[in-house]
Amino acid sequence: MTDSVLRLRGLRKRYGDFVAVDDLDLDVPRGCVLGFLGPNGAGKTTTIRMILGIYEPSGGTIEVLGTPSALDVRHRIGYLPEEKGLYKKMKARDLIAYFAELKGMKSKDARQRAIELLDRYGLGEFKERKCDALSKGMGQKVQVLASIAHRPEFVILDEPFSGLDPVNQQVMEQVIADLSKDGSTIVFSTHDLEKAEHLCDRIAMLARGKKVFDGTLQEAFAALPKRIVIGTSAESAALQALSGVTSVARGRVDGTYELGLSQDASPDGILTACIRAGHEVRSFDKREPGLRELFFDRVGAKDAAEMLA
Amino acid sequence: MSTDKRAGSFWKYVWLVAGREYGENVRTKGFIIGLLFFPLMLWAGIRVPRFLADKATPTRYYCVVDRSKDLGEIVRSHLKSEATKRIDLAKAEWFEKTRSQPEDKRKPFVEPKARFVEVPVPSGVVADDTEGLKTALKPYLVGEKKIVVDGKDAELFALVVLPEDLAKRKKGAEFWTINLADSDLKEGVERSLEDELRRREFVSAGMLPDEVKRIAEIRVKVESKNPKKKEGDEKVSTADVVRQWAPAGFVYLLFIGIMTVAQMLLNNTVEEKSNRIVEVLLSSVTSTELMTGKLVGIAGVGFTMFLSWFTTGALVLRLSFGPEVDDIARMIFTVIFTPQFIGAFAVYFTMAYLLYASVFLAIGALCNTLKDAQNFMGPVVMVMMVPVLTMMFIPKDPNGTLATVLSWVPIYSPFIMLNRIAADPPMFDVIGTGALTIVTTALLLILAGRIFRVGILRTGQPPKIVELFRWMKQGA
Repeated sequence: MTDSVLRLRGLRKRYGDFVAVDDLDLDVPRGCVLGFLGPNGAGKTTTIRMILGIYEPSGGTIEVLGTPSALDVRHRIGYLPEEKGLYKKMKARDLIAYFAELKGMKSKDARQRAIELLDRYGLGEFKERKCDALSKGMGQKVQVLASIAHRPEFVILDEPFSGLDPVNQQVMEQVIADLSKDGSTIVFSTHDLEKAEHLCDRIAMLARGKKVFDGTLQEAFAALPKRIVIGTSAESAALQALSGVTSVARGRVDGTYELGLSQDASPDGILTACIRAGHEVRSFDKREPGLRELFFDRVGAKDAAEMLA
Repeated sequence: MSTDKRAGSFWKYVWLVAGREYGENVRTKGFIIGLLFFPLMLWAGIRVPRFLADKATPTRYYCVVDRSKDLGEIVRSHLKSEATKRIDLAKAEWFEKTRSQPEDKRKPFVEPKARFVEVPVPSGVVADDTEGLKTALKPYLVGEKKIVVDGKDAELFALVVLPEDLAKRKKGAEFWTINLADSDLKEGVERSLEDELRRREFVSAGMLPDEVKRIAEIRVKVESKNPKKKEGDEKVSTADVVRQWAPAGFVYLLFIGIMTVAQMLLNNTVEEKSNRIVEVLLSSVTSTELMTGKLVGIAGVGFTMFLSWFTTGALVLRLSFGPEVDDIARMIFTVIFTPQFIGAFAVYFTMAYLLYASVFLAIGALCNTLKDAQNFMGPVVMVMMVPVLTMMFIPKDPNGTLATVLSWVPIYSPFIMLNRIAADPPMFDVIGTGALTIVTTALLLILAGRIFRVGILRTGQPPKIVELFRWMKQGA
């Protein structure tokens, strides 16, 4: 048995006839950073709320930090919701300290920790500022700090990057890296595949309530069909006939084709076969697979395009 | 890393939430202004009428055209004796106020301004007969022309005309003025004429003038008695009247208080819901801790408000004591600040607060915007208006049918029982309605808790009634 911070089995959430989350299994090993990916309406936020005990699941089991309910261990969990809001009339420092206290910290420690965090992430001069006098980005940072002030061992961040400018996105990345370095397990949902690729050890992909992928980044890339783009005079039927080619599609540039390859085929072998068959080859490009490709592959072109638009 | 158990008990988190709610609400400008507004109103309520009576009314000047030979003098001497009485009273008041001060520090007595002063017909006015005089004085009476008093311009307030045959006809006297509000002078003139003409009739009928004087001075006072009071103490004083009506004031205060704090509860809940802070809160504390914390925190705001109102109110009243024993400020003070009234107020405020707060919390949990909340509020406020509408009737018949029936309606019980408190309602009513209210409140709190648990995280439109009933079952 591996040490899992979170274990979901057959998790379901139904709203009347609509199934928001369908039969979801997921394990989050201790110490990892897991990116929770999926288009809008995929069920990410619903899943997160069920994990936290905010929503009651319609079926399945949840095990968080070894307990069946996050409510019993809520002081060990940090949570940043998707929709960001603060008490407008509270000072930044007081707000962070208040939420830390609600998580069980002693008042004095909470206040000290609030100041320490604000200083560390460049908000030191705003600690006496009321939240409604902070800019949107600053407010969002304050809320992130409020959600991690009690040094949680498991952190769930729902869309932490949305609405942040590039500078604050950098700070957010730093926060995640620091948390990870300190040994916290982190789950964050995002639309931003680059961020996920950059920050995560593991990926879980959700589409229309169902899990479509779950594994490490290496597994994700390995799971992708190999692709090459070839510029050639050959007809698409001729390319299709080559052994190891599973699909042929017109490339973005005229006279190029995008070929899908079977797992055992090698791109170099295809190139050789192509030349041997007497086709003229003008260009050849091995496509490095990325999360983007995985996403298109698993979520479906329509949903993926909508999300990445 | 943290330990397995969350540190601290249920109440630790309730106090945390309560502390924040309290701190945020007592620090708002509106709340602080509200605190100051009340004693200011009370102070103004006592001071302004006194000030108007003392200072703000200017001395008024009038002319008398007396064709009756002697009645003019009678009127004059009567008005003069009334003015003297007024000065004597002011002197007594000054004496009472300064009695305790050392002699050299006393403010000297200043005679109050005379209210009415007779002036001769202005020098420019010449007329042969009464009619001509009236016409000539008209521009002065309507303010077009000014009379001169001690070298300064002043307005002529009134013209009193006493015709030649007034004593015989008993009518025909005239009082010319454009000011219809201040009738003191006119009444003074009437009284003196009536007294004098009656006296003359009695004398001409053969009575001795001394006898007439004695009869004229007969005054009868009817004493109000209360059969409920102890024997020998049945006399109804003004204080008793104040005591009877004071609860109506308390009911009004209770209504304002409940509305104020309930509004805070509603606003905060809707705010937390609309900006989704509530999600973070509920990932930290249970919904029961959150709701209890809110109830406790806002109750604290309510008690702070009343404590401040009562202390500043007492202070204002104490500083406003007039010299007379039946001074209104003194009486209100002694009537209100008794353990019975203040204690009853605290108890009934707590009951009414918990009862209505549970309703408002549930409404807050149902709505995502204040606009939605206002739609729900309308009917609740209408229902809440009943005790305010009846608060002036209840003291008239405090143990009557209306009062008794309304007392047994739990949502009105705290208001109506408070309204009846001066009439010492039957113990059965006090305990029975109290118990009923407590049971109802407990029930409402449980239901509100269920609605709160389900509703607080819901987004979108407020639910339909059917859904609401489902939540009540579901939230259990």
